[in-house]
Amino acid sequence: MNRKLNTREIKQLLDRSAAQIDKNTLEKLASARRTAVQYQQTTQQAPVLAWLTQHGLIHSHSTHNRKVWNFGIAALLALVLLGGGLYWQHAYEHDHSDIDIAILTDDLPVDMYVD
Amino acid sequence: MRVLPRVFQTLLLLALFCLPLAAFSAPWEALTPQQKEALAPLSGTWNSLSEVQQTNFLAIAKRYPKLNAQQQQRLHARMQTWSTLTPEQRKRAREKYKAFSKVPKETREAVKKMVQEQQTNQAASGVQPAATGH
Repeated sequence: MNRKLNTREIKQLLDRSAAQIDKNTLEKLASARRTAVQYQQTTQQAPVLAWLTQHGLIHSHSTHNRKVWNFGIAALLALVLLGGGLYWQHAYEHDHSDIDIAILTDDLPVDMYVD
Repeated sequence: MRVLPRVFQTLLLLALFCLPLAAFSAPWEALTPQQKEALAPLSGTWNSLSEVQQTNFLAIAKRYPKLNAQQQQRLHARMQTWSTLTPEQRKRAREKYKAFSKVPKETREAVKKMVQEQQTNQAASGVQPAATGH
């Protein structure tokens, strides 16, 4: 009779099976896991950082280096965002097109508003 | 630090959206046919306008197609005059317009009627209307 196993039962079965695996296979599995984890860490690197590393522009193998680069890129992006924000604020303040069109199409002539 | 890559991607996208996409000034020859049509009265003086003025007029040109025929006609008639005003004069005109917009509607209508009557009288007596367009 087939019955569905719950998560706990599956875990128990896997633990039991793992206990029966020989030492050599366990070592290979552990090695494969280490490689997979290392690969994941590499691919999770910031895209810009990964690109720079790939093209040999930086050598950020150490965690310290990576932190410095991450901080640098974050600061650069923050600056770009700040600059963009300031630009839009400036553009908004200097956009008079609404009122200019209203004046230029008003029933009253422009000279009514000009000194 | 592992969260940062995703943060970078998001920030990069945001930064791209923040890049200035507004209409920059351009020589008359570089304008689109639609912009040229909207800014036709300025064809002769366009290249001598300041960058700020060109940007302002390009913003106006963008909205030109949405105006009705009468508004388009008025805009064309007054555009040249508007471009010859000093920045300070335009600033004052905007302030006056804003102030006048806050006046009760009845008063505004009365003033408009009075101005129209004046214009009719001037036209009837052969006096040239004010140079700043109608």
